[in-house]
Amino acid sequence: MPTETKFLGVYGAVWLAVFLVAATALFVRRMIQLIRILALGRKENRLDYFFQRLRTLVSEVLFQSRMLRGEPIINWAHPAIFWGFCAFVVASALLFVGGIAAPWLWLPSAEEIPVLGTVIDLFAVIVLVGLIASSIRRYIIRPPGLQRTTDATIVVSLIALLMVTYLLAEAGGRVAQAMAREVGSPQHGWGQTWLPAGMITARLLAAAGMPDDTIVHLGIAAWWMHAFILLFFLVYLPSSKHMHLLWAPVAVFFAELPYKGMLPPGEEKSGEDAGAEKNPLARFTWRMLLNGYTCAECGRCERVCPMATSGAKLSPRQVIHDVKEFVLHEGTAALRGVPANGQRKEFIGGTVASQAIWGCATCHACVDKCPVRNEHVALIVEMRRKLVEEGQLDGTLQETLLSLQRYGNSQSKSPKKRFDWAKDLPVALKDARKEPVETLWFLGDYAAFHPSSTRVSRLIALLFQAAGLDFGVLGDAEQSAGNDVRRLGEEGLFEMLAEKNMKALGKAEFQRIITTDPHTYHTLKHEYARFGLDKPVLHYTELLDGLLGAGRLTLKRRLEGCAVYHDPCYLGRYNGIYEPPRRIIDALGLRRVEMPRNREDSFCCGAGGGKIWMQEEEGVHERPASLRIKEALEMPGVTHFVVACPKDLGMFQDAVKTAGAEDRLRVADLGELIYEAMELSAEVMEPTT
Amino acid sequence: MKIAVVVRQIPDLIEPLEVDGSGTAFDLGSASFIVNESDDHALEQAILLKEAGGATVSVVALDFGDVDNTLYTAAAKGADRIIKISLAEEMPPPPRAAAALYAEAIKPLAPDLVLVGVQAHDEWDGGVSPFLAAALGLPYVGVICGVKAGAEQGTISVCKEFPGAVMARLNVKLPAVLGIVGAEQPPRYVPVARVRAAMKTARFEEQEAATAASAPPAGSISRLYPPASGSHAEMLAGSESEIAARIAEILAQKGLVK
Amino acid sequence: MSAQDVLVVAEIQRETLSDVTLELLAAARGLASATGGQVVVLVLTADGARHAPALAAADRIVVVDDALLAAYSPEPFMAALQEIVVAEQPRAVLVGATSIGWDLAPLLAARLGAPLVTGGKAIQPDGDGLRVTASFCGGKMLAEIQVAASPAIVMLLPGAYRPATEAGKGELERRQLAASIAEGTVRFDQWVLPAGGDVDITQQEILVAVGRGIQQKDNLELAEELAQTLGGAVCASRPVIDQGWLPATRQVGKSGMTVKPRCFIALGISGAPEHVEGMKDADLILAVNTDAKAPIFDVAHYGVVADVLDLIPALTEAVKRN
Repeated sequence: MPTETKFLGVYGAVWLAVFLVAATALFVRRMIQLIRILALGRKENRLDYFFQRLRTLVSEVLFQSRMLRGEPIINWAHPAIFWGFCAFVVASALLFVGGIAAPWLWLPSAEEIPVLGTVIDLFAVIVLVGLIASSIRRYIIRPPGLQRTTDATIVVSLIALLMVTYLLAEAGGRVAQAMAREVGSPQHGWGQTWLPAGMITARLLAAAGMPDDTIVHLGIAAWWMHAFILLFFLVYLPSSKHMHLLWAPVAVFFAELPYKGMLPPGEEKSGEDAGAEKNPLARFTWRMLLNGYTCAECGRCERVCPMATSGAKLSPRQVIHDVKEFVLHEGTAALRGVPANGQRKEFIGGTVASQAIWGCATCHACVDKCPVRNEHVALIVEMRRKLVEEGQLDGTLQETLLSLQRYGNSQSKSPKKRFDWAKDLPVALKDARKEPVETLWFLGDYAAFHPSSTRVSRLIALLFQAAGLDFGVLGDAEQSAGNDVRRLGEEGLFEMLAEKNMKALGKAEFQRIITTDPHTYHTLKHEYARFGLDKPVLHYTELLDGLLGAGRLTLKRRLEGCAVYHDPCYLGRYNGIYEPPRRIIDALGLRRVEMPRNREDSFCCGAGGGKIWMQEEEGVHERPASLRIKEALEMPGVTHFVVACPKDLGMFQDAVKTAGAEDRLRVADLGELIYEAMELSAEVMEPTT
Repeated sequence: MKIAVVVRQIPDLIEPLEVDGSGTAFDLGSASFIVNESDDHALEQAILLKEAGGATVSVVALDFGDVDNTLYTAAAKGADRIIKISLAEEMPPPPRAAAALYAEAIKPLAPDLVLVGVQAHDEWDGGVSPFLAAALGLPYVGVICGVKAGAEQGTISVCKEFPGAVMARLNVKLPAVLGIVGAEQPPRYVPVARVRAAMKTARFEEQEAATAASAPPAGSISRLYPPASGSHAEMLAGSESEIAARIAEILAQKGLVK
Repeated sequence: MSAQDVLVVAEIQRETLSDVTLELLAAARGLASATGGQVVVLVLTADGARHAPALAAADRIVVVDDALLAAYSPEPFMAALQEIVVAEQPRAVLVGATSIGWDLAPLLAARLGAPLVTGGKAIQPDGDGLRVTASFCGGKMLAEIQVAASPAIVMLLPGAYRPATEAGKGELERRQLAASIAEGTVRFDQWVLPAGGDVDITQQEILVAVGRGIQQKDNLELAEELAQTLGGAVCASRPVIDQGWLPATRQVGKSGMTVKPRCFIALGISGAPEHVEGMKDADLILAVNTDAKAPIFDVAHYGVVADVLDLIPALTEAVKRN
């Protein structure tokens, strides 16, 4: 064992122990500092759902599930490197323990343990192959958004060096053993473990003309180099920008559970505005700050972001990167007690541009794709809360929020007009406040006011009536559910809307709620429990799928055409409802094909997060909805673009018009297609007003 | 500088206003009220002056309608004192008579500057702002779209709006009353959370209205009615392309298309 | 002046006599001929006599000449006006509902304890008093108001009457400002004119006007294209200007420009009175709005209930084809 040699009169083992202790101390000190910085953030409870968290950790970290399902090349290369890393943790532990004990007690190193030694030996090669492949991807293929940082280059190089030194040490060890056997020296170890890579390395070196002695000495040098690289890593990692190795398991354990799109409540404010003096990290929760540590700058979030893809200023990756710098810089200063510098550039709205903060459609593609479970959306919403507090909103957004405050809808219309769309229905809608109903239909602003959506609402009402559904509405007491308001950062207004809605719901009698709007669906289902809502919430596609299945809707004809279905963000990606709408399309007789980006990979129309109320951004070369329509138009023979969301309907109809493809592609809601297939009376199709 | 601002509630026109049985007055019982837009600008202007250089802002309002919400919002924006004038009757007096009530509440404040919105759509007998100035015995100028501190102590520089996007810059010696049509910046947004926080901390001072001052010699409304649409446009119908073609035809007929 | 006379306060802005003065004279004539009184016009400015020829529709032109009245200042103007009215006791004082009018008329009413009606559209004698048809609530309501006392002060909306054409006696009188009238505490400093170098919409034959219905700043392109195709220019109602999407020189309305083009196409404009004031005299008015009840349709010659974002491109195409 190389540590039995003395250097400067002291056993190598002692040197190793000293350096190990020093490195560990530095590591621990730094980790404590990093944890203390996280503690500067506000509280958020992530200790619930403990076993689900463990399962997630095992699945996503240990079994690398997100990676395996991900982008090509790296979907095998990273798991290879990671599992190799796990194997080498074991090998390294044996290295240090054995190395330090060596002068007094023999303990086997990894290569002396059967099976384990072989596994690690093979992993050395697997990891090298993985590193080569990922380096080709990183430096030659260059996926956009992947940051080729110095830290990453150092880490990749050092891991490669670790593998090479391990193989060299194995080779040296094998040759030394062979030499010792020849002279009959006692051997430690449990016999010859099969180390194919090590043996090949030894043979290659011999074939290259290296004498046995040299191989042995090279192996010893490599052993020491390997040990010191490990120690270097211990100190380097928590001080580098490449901490994801350390923090990813933590972040994955503390993932957002039990549903996607969780937002912490707003920061508690004391009466006076202590504002500038208090620590700037305090408005973020510790979990938001953790995003900065965990990010590996892989760029997946940026590659799937519909806004970044369309040319907008927002890059989710850049936001997290800025948070990382901010947390480390401000956190370190705060721990040192350094006072706030008045000249410092504002973080929210300055370093992270307002345009980028308002750019997010909250589609959740970034969070879904992130292998280390970063929560970009929650961070951006928190930043928006600050901009809202300071009144930094553009004029039209302000008007919309005031309209919501005053009238409960974003359209500056009187609440009494909320059900004008239903005025000319042959059978009037029931008012759930006046008579008990089984199902309460919660419309939402767009289904109630937007011209193309109200037409669909009318058809759906007729559909429900034809199916014999016992349903009613809240009438002019219904307010916007507040999904977009909340995601705009106006938490107080969201609470106000929720309280008003709960009051109205309290006056009605019903067993369950349905809605056609996925945004409304998501918020009522997940975010109203805290206001006391305890009834099940369904999307109308779930309901209609059920009715079709039970034979309560008689379809009189098969629809002709080839359809693609666009998964709405808040129904699909957020809530996992993919199949009911597809079953409906199939039942209607349309030939269904899938767009390349379907189900959880669906590409957002760009209306969410309040963007539908904002001015269009400069620099956008093609709007997300247009990009999505292009995807459908590139598929030959597609005639129907099927949606299940009132906002999608308007956005995609506009996009089809812009593309000049109105005669080729029909954007249709599932409700209107079912209506057509049922061949109900044609009279009530068009509005009288 | 001490600034007083009058904030009024007016019927919200988003719903058509109903005329009552007598046909001479609005049926305000069913109306909803919102803050008068130009008063909102007046308040914003007052807060801007406060932020620019340490003024105090007192807000005066009549107690009816949704005034509490408006006043909490004013407090959240930074108003220092809020005075609510309680009324003997349910509905407020007409604007000119109301001016006397505001004057009574404002006099003891001895303000240097009084800002009021220059018009409210329910005023048919004259804007409150000039009558308030007369009741306070202070100089008045209206249709003001911006107020800044003046070059000399005790003066302000204001812009008066004229047609054709023209403005006149005027120097005003304080104390004075201004009829505001716009502030230097549009009214700021106050998040609901801050208004709710103000609900917990803001205190209103309540005052009784003066016993009805002698009614000013206003006219009396003998009839109130929505205008009959005399002429109405000839409405074009059909598909987009049909309508577009028809309009192009009309333009060509009038010799407008080259 | 007798108790049957009607006094008109002439409005002079930047040395020019405003159109509304002639409209007031027409209203005054209608009133005076019924009461058997004279139409008297009061000119408050420096060197006011030069406006006399334009005021020929009045019977008496009272010019109060004084350096103090050279530029608008509420106090001396008010004082002069009050002095005249107190001395002469007309039946009615007519003032335009203009920037200056909104200062003078109410202050006069307060000083004299006289009744005041704003938003006047029509005025008739009624016994010893007057009956005024007034518009308020953004033009959505009309009121018939009886005014008993004399003098009664009425603010008339610009455009309520056609400018007077009939000549009156046109006698010129000069008066001096009372020595007791001092400089006010509100003093004129300078005019602030809109940045030049932009299109003068008052000189355009064809105007494409945009309002809230345009929704996004980007959609202005559509209007620009239509305007270009027609050889006209883009203008806007106040909300669009307030957002900063177009310069103030493009604003049509009460505080913007008054335009009289051959063709005015109102896109997504509701037709609030402040805007209509600025464009109602256009030869041909086409209006597009999603709200069938929008007041703009009462002023327009042709109307379409549609979304402007759909119609504008179609219209541009149709015009190009012709």
